[in-house]
Amino acid sequence: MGYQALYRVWRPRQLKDMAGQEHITKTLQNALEQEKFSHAYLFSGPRGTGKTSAAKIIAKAINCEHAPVREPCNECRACRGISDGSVVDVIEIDAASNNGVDEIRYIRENVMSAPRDISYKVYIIDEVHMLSTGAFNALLKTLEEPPKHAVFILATTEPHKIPLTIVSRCQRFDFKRITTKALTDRMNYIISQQEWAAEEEAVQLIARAAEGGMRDALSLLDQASSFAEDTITSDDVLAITGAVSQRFLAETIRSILAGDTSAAVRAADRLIQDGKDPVRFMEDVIYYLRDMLVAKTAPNVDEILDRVMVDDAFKELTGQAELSWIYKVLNELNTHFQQMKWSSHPKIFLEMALIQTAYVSSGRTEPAQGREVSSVSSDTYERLEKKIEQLEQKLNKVKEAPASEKTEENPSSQAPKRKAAPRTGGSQALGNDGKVRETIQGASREKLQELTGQWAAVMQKVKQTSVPGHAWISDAKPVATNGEKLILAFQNEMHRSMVDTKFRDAIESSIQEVTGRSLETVTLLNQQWEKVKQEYKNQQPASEEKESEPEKDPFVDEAIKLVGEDLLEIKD
Amino acid sequence: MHFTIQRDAFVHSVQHVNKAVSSRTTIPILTGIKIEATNYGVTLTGSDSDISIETFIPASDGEKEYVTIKEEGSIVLQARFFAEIVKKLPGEEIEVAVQDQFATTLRSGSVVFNLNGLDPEEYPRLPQLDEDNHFQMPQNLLKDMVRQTVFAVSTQETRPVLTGVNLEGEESELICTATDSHRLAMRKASVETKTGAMSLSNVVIPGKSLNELNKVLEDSTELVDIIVTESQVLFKFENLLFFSRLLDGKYPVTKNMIPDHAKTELVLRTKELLSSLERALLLSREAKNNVINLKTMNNSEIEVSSVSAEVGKVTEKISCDTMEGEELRISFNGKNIMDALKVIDSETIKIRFTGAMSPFTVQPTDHDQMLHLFSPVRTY
Amino acid sequence: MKWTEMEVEQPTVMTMLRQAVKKDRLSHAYIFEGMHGSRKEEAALLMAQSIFCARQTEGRPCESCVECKRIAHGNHPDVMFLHPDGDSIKKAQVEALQKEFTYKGMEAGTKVYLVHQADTMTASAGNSLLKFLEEPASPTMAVLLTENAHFLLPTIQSRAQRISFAPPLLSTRTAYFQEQGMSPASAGLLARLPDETLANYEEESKEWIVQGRALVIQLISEVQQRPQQALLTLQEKWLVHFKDRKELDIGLDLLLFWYRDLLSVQKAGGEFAYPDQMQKLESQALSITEQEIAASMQFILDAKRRLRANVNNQLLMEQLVLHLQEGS
Repeated sequence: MGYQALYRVWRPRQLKDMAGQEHITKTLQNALEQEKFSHAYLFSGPRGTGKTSAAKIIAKAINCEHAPVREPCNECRACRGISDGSVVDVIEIDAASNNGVDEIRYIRENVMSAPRDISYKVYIIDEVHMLSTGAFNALLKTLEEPPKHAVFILATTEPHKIPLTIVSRCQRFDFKRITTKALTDRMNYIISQQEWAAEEEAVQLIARAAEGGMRDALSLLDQASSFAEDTITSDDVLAITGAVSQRFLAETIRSILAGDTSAAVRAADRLIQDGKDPVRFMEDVIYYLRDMLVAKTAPNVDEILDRVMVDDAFKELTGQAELSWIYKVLNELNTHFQQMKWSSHPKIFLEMALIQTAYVSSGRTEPAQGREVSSVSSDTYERLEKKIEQLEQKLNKVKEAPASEKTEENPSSQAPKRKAAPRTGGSQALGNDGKVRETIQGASREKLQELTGQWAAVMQKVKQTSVPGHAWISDAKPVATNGEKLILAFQNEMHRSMVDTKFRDAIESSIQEVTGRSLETVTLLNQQWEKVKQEYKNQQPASEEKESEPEKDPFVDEAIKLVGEDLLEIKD
Repeated sequence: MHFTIQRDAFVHSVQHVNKAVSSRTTIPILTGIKIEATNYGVTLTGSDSDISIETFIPASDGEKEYVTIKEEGSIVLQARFFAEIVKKLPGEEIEVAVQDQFATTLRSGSVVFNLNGLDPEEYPRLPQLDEDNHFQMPQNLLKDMVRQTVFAVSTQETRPVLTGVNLEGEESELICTATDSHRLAMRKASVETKTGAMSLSNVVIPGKSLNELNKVLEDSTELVDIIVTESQVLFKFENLLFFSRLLDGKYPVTKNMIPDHAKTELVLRTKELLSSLERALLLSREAKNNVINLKTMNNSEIEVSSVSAEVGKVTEKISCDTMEGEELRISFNGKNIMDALKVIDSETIKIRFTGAMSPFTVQPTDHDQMLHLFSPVRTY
Repeated sequence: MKWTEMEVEQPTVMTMLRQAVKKDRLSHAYIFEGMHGSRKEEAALLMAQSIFCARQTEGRPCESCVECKRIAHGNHPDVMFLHPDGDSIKKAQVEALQKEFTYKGMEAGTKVYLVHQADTMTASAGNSLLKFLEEPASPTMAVLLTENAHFLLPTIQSRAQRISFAPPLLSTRTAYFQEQGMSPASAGLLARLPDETLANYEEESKEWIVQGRALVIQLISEVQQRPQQALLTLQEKWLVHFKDRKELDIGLDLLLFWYRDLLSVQKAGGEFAYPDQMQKLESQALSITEQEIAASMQFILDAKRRLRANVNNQLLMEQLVLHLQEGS
């Protein structure tokens, strides 16, 4: 186990090696050269941006035997001593494990004694935000009147937690997230130095996953190279980051854009099976959308894209999506994302979120009550009261429904389309044989599935057009379709004939509206359907049964697959 | 495994190894004492993983039979019970036998204990002894060296390596160093090497282990063997082995810290300076910084003073045996100097200054085997 | 747990680890992230074994030598474990560990420590671990085990290589519970519950979960058909059965699985939590839109979240049932 992590091997040893922080390194270099450095620095910035590295470089530069210099020589006794930790006058304090007043007092007492080996005592206090209030006060005393031979460098990822009295006594430098370009440049350099090989896309993927932290980037590169067989490929990177490919992200977003919930749910399924992290995935989707937003508002500025590599799919999606759509979907996903992190069922959460978002996105939903409610979750009592009220109203409506037979004619624009649908008369239940056969011939389980999946929405539409219609039809079940015709099976002849004669239009137009497809409905009684199904089955050669078994109920199939024939009692 | 053993010898041995066993260990097997019987005798081992103590009871030492081995083998028994049990057994002899599944019977007189043992295979292995770095010194010298250095180790965990005493060895000279980065104590001694030239560097023994070792060391001139391995150091006594793990990390190079010239040089009587500092500290202890000022006067005298803003001020003049070089005013941590003076056994000491803001040394006048180094304190 | 068995369960992960051992490219810090039951603990031990094992071949430990046995029994002096003390891993524990690591290895010079439930580290414990994680003085390997790496400090995350374990297959878990003597129906439900919820119920849950299941089915059909009755059932049965917060959380999970099943019915696929209720599921699936299912799922997830925020149980359930009624 003699291996040392890349980010430690390649820690910058001079200011000029520090990637992406030119605004800081330039200033520091000049200060060092002119010996105008401060007695206290505060380095703040996200993880892996070089705060501690810069602190160590400064410690070396001011103590270097060749000082004043812009950069430490890393050769002289002082530099080497500081590097290997054998010089006792450069004191690194980890504020997290030494956050007590005692430790800081210890510094205070000892800061007075002169440096032993080199010219300046340097105190590097890492994670300084972890100091307790008492310790901060003690430190403040020292910072107020530091001896000439002492330099304090405070480093933190959370500068807002540091008292202003401390901040105001330090020269403050804010380290920035390192740009993707700076990260890839540095990684490519290291890859060539290590004599490794890597696909350009793989390096890009790492850089984007690293979120501006050099250490993250090099950790990932390390991991990828130990995992990779030979050349580091993008697949290797995806395997170790648990991320999904950009293609997969694009597909998911495309299905949201198209309002294709099935595809979205399938994507969630595949994700889990591949052992990917749903939370991470959600985050990636959000970032992808964010980049779409950026690309849309500021085209041709690829560098500011956070995660995405501009490819055809990205361009296509960006071209397709409306700005308002992106806002809407981003907003929706972000709300879910916040809660998802704390959920113990991230997969279900993901599916739910994707479905909801697909609906919001397609705008083909009347804002369902559910949506309203989800946005309001406080003032419980008021909500409850309101809900109960609504419920009562609903109940009343249901009670009244059979009485009021008024069939509101739907004045929607669907009317002409409805007429365009092929209409053949003959609505006698038993006179439908021809059509039934025809339907069965071309029937496919997928089509039926698609329809039954949306059946509830169809029913709702029907209800909107005609409440009694909905009541009559609620007993029916779609049993087969060939894409042009739909067979509805009823329990009860009265229901069947009512629907067939009076509400056919309402149903067909609702189907048209929900599925965007016009279907002619053929009505049957359950017994008749069973008979037809049986006849048809007998005609088919056994070998082909699998493909041409439209009458087989997909739900039952599915259930049988799961639990076996013995367990399942099929009631029709 | 099956043997009978003299109770007294056994009890004595068990007590020794039990010192190393800690009840707070997280490693289950280390709650036990390992017993190993060979035809030569019985070996006991106890460890808290930082230190390990191994004792050996020979089958006989020419005068007396201690152990009768009936079958060789080994077992690990729960230290807490085992140590108590053997102490309370009534007979002169104890019979120890291991049956299947590490079940162990202790029999003495008419008393029978059945104990559940642990698999001896799982007990940590003590390091293979590397004969390369092997030397000897009298116990009392080792005891002195420990006493004269270990006080200066750091108690701060910020630099863990400073919590130990560093061993350096060249040819037949052994150098022990301890520092908390404000003071440094160094002690040299020449030792008997067993394997020609010795070459030690960066061997850091935890101060805590040395304090434990001190309890085992006796004030005799009997020789103790010291063997250094990659990760442990072994102090080998007759029938007792004391192992300590070493500290990790690079010990600061101390050689070139010691100034080779002096601008001011004083020779003082140890006791006189010590009691003077004690008095001065009465006040500066109050100020919690232990700062004491020292000033050279014209007539081979120095003035030791200390001020406490709340309490007051103390000054005292001490005459030096000799004083050479420039005039000097310097401030230092008096407590640190006192610690050092307490371990210097010589009558007189020599203090060498290289300037008010540079480190200074304190060493005995009668030999150059010991040196103490201090950083001054800036008081303005 | 054998390495070869692990390779079947977690092929990607085990390849990663094996490659690292084989190529001598082990990182000084790993985060093993995966659901309960994804066997990350076993994988960590196996990796430790392959580091110390003298007869390691192609990165796989022999699992029979003294080294391997000692690691498996927690007796290896250079392999250390950190478990939460009570609810969390405290700073003092990390310090004790740190102290241990200022010493050289007891035997091999290489040291390994496994931090279980690393996400329970307090902020100060986590920050204390940082420095040490980054700059171990000697060959050291840290493995932080967690169900959710998001809960670790970002600065810790960036210092470690993250290894994500695939969740255990539902079928594997179901089979496991059936072996434990559960009926297929309740095994399927148990397999879906997160382990941390299950931990306390393993033994007495058998009957309890069967009854709970029946209650879910009853409640759902009442929500659909007899709304007034549903509130009564809540009061008389549901809240009596799912008494405290923890139990109610399970109840909500069971409800959630029902709606997930509805979705499966509509999407024609997936493994069902209530396979014996196909009749009910099918008929309900015809009367509820996909969007309503999603909304219902959200209501339940919402309720679960609020449950943690100490909302009155009864109020919470009543509100949920009313919401669900709108959606069905």
